[in-house]
Amino acid sequence: MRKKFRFIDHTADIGVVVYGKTLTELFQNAAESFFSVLLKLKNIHEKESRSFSLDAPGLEELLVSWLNEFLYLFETQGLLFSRFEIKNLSKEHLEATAWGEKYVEGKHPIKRVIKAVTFHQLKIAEKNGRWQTQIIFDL
Amino acid sequence: MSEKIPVKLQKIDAWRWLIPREGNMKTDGLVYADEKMIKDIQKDQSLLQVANVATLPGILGKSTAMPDIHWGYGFPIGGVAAFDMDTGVVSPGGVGYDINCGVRLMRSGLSRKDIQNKIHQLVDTLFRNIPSGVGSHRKDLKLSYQELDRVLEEGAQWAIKRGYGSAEDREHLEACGCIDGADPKMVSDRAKERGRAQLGTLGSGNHFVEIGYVEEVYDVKAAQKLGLEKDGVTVLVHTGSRGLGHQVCDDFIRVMLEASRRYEIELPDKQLCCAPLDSPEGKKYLAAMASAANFAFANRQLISHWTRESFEQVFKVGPKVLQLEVVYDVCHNIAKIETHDVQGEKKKVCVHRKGATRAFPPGHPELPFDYRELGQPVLIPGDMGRYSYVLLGTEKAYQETFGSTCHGAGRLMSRHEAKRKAQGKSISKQLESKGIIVRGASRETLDEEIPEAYKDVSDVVQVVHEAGISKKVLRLKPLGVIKG
Repeated sequence: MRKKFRFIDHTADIGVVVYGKTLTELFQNAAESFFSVLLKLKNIHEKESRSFSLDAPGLEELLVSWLNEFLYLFETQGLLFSRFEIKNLSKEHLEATAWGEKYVEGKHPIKRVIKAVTFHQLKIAEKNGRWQTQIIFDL
Repeated sequence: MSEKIPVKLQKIDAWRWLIPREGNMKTDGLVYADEKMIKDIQKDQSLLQVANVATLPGILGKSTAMPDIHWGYGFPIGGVAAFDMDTGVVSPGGVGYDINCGVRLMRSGLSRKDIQNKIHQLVDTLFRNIPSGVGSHRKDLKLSYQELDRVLEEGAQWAIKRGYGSAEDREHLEACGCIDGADPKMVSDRAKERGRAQLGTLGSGNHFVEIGYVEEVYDVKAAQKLGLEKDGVTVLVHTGSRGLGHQVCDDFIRVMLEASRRYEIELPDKQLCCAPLDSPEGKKYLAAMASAANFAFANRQLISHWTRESFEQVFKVGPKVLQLEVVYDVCHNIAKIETHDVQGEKKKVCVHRKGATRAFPPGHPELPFDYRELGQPVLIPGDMGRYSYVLLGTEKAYQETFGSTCHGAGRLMSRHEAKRKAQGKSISKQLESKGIIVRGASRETLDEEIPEAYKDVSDVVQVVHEAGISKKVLRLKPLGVIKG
C-alpha cells in the first residue's frame, strides 16, 4: 500500500502532504492526517458515527470545510474519529460518515491541538493518475 | 516548501532595511533587524509577504516588519500595516487566527527569596486552578449564550463586574480591556459554541502562565513607576481568544475571499483577502474581531484572578499582603482604529498588528494616568528557559511605526526539528536543573516548545531598543511555568 500522507516541516505550524488514488480517497486520507496530528489513530475505537453533508463553492473550500467539521466536533463535543467513508463527492458537495468515539482522558493522550485548517497554498491536483494536496494546520 | 522569490533589500542603517517599492507595491517595505537576523529572515518568504502587504489598497506609511518577523498566513507575523479609513482595507490575515492573543504582566509584594521554597507548590496549584489541557474547564464557570454575548460586548469588565478582579485592573489594560464596536451578532453560532466552554482556559502551543522575578533593571526610575524592582516576583499571562477567535478568523476568510472578488481587489496571495474598511464586510469583520478581542481580555482577566487565588492558597495570606497587581496588558494580534499623524495631518487609520505590540509614547491620551509621562509599557515574552522583557513605547515609534514594536522571540525551528532536538531528554528535568519548574498538559507541547526552538528574545529587543522604537526597562527571569 502506498503512503496515505506524510508530515512536512513548517516553522510555527505543521504541514501534511496527502495522497489518494481517487478524490474520495484523498478526502478520507486528509481526515486521517488531521487526527494523526492530534493523537495515535489506533487509540480511537469505533463506538459511534456521525454523518456529514457539506456544500462549498469549490473543491479546496470543500476540503477545508470537511476538516473543519472535525475541529468543531472535537472542540465542542470531544469527538475523535478514525474511519471515514465518503459516499458522495462532487466539486461542491460532500456526503460522508465517520466512526470514532469521545475523548477520554488517559485513554487518548493528545499530542498537540489543531487550532485552524488554513487555505495556505492549498491546491488539490491530479498527477499521473494520483491525487495530491498539501494542507497547513495552524497550531 | 515552494520556490523562493528574491526580494530587493537596501540597508538603511544598522537596524533598518528598506524593500523599495516596485511592481504593484503602493509603498516601500521597512524591516527592523540587524545584519545577522536579516540573513535568517531571508531564509523564509516573510520579506515577500512584507512586499505583498504593500500592494493592498489604501496602505499608509510603509509596510513594516519587526525583528521577530517570520512567515505567517498572508501577512507576516511581526507585521504592522496601517490603512486609510476611506480608501483602505481590513484583512483577517493581518490580525491572525488568535485574535487579541496578548500578554499581561502582574507585579507582587513578594521577592524572589519569599517563593524559593514554594515554587513547586505554586506551579502545581496554578496547574490545578487554571484549565489548560484538552476539554478542561472550571466547573464553577458555566456560561449561557446570553452571558457569552455580554463577555463579547464588555471584555475584561464583564469578569471584573462578577468579582474576578478589581476596577484598578481595568485601568491598566490596553483599551481598558474592551475594544469599541463589538457586536456579538456578527460572531457565528459555531464560534460561540467553540468559545463558550473555553472561556477561562489557557489553550495549547506557546500559551503559558509564568512566575518569574526581575533579574535586571536598565531604567530604575521607569521600573519604580511600574512598581517593579530587582528580585520582585512577577507573573506573565500569555493567551488569547481560543477557539472563538480562530472561528471568527476562519469565517471571515471565506467572507473576504468573496469580498475581494466583488470589490476587485488584486491579491498576490489568497490569504491577504480583505474588504474595504467602509464596506459592509469590512465593518462586520471589525465588529466580530472586537467581540473576539473582548473574549480574550476577559480570558486573561479570569486567569489572572485564579493566579491570585493560587498564590493566596499557597501562601495562606490575603490579597493585601500579596499585592498581585496588573502592571499592563497588551494585545499582539489586532486591528485598531487609532489617530496618527500622516504626512503632518492627524488622521484616523486602521492599524493591523499581527505579532506586533502597540508602543505609544509618553503623553498619549490613551495611556493610564499613572503611566502617562512614562510611555506605554510593552511586554515581550521570551521562551520558557531564558527571559522576558519590559519596554516602553517612544515618540519615535509613533512617528515611524504607527506606535508599534516587536512582540516576542519568534520561532527559529519547526516543531519537528524541536522534537528531534529534544529527543530522549526530559525537557522539564533540564529546565529544573536551571531552576525553572515547568508543567505542561502534553509532553509533545513541552518538547516542541524547547527554548532552543526560539530566537533569543534579547537580540530582538536589542534591535527595537537601538532603533529607538521602544526603550528597555527591565528583564524578567522565569522560575515556574505552566503550559497548555
